[in-house]
Amino acid sequence: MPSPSITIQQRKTVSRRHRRLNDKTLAFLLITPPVLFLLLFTLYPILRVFWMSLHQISVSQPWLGTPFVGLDNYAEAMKDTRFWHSTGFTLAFSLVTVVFEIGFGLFLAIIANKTFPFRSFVRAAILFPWALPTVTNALTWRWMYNSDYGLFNGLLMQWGWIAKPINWLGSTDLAFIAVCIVAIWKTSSFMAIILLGGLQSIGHDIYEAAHIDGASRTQAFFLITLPLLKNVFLVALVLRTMHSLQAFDLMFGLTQGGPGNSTESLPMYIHTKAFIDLEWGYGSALGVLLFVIIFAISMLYLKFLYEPE
Amino acid sequence: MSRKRFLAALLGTAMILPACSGGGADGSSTAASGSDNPAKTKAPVTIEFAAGLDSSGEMAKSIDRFNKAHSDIQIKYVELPQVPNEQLTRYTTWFNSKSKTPDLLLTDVTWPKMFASAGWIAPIDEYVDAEYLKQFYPAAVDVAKIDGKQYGIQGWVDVGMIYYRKDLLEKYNQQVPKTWDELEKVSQEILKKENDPNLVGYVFQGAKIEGATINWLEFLWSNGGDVFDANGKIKVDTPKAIQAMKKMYDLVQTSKVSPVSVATSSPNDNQIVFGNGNAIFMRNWPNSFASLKETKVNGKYDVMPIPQFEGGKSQPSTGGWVYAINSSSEHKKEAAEVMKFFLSDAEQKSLVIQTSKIATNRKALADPEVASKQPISIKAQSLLETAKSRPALRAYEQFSRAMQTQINLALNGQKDPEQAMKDAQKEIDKIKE
Repeated sequence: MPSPSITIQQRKTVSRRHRRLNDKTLAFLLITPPVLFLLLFTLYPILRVFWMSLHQISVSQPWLGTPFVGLDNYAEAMKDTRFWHSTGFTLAFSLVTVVFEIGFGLFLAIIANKTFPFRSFVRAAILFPWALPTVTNALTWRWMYNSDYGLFNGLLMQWGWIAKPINWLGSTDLAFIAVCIVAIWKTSSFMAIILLGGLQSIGHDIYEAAHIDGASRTQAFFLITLPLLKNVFLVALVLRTMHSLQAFDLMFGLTQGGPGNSTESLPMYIHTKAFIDLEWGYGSALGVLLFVIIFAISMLYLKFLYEPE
Repeated sequence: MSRKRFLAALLGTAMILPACSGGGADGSSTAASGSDNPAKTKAPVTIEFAAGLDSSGEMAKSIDRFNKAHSDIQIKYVELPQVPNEQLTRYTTWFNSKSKTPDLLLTDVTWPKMFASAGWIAPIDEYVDAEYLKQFYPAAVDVAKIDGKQYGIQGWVDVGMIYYRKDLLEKYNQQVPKTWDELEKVSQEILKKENDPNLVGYVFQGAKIEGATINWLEFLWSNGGDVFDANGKIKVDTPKAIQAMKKMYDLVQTSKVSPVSVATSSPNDNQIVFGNGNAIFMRNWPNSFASLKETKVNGKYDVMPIPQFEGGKSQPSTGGWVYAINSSSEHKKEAAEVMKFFLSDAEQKSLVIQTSKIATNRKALADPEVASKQPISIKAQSLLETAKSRPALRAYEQFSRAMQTQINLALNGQKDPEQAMKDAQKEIDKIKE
């Protein structure tokens, strides 16, 4: 234990110093810990991944060392059919899900924006799929899709619509659709919440003015609602696209990337290479490539959709 | 000016903080100097033992028994997550930084070759002789025998077996099948006579998981084949391997004795189907034997060995966990002693009775008390003599993933079986050994 005299002395120094702190110093002091934290836990790992992607690091083969290989890992990725396949899947998945999510999300948001009994209950219910962890969703849906004891086949056969069970996750096309359905079901609600925020920020007076000027409801929707939602759309689009390009847990829980490798997303492939095959150099290079893809798409969105107010 | 003062204050705090905990540090330093004194008794060696979370609690009890009985060695249990891949990440991080702990660890049966060739685990030949190793089933020893050196011993074992509906076979006067063709015929016969649209013949694991590789290996081995050619190279496009794949494919796509859903099935999915009384045969692991008691088919099922091809030999695949010693450990000798304790007759016997796991120690598994409390142990005994470990490969995961992907595509009917094996071979040729 320190002697009490030191503590008191220390306290005196602190309080004396406190009185003389100016705003600039105070700001500097307050901002230092988070900046250090970010440098250490965000910037350093990012730079380290870039550095690793330029080396051959095969953890389970320590005798190879970690030689600098320049862009070899990237060159290998360009020749890697699984990289191209998983990238293609990820892009197709993102395109399909984001388009449908925006559609359903807008629909849900408009419903939730109307005044009707139990509105708050409905709003909460809309959020429900989004509130569940993706892996839980994936496993629940896997159960429902199951060809032997799943809900869908059970219902369809009971109604006599199909004679033989359908293997929902067993063929390439069906599995792609099945994965997309779960993603759309889950994240439309996220879109709805963001768009609902946008809808509520549009004042009633604008609609009233349009009504007086003789605008129909459809006209009001396309000429007032959609344009005024543009920036909210942009935020939702960028967030959702980034998320779906990073999708891992859904496919991992639902199909493990099967059948074959048909539903393997790029993040899944990165995980496999880096953490199962322990090829950290190559895995890092794939990670950097994913980063480049996400960055490029985000830039495109900004270029075409962003309008400073 | 104020900045300098602030720095001074910061320094002041930095100096006081350690002083606060100074009491503890001082205390431990005196204790440390005390242990240097040869007159005092030696401090016990602590063996850090890393293993996945054990929900049965038997591991912790076993460690307690050891710690109570020993004053010179104490075991510290380092609990790892249950998911094997998470454990692999931990081990990789430790070994990559040459950590001295854990001293003793449990590895999945497919890891010893990778760990040994990276120099992460130490040979144990100086602690175990041939006589000692004879107490265990061959697969439990072979699993960690790499380039003539012993790198570990398997602690418990899973072994592939076929569950079948005793009642249905009896009802239609069918013999328990010994070959794949017989299994196909018996299934067709019963399916025809039962005429139940929900009933299927044979369910197994064909999803894109490790289970697909294991099931295919069992078909291959029961056909007298292997994945290694005469030069020790992996060859999966051999006639025998293609035949094995073709048989699996035919069961699903030609005779349709197996439902196409096996291409998305895990062991758990199979167990649900079988447990609901909707399958005649099922390939699964020993743990289903107890779990199926809680289902509709309680009392109606039994187990039989994996069938074989005409002229082949039934060889079930094994799973389970292997004890190995960290090559950077400073207490390898003591770690070996702890390992031998876990593998001793008494501990292995308790393991079977308490957890229904299958011991690798022959004597423990054959114990009458074990047999009466865990009937599966008797059934497993005969299977274990011919059981085989999966191929010891440095990049086993890569090999297996190539296989899983192709087997899965063939079972789905999306690829010709022969083409699937050829494509798998192409993937495997890319692995840098």
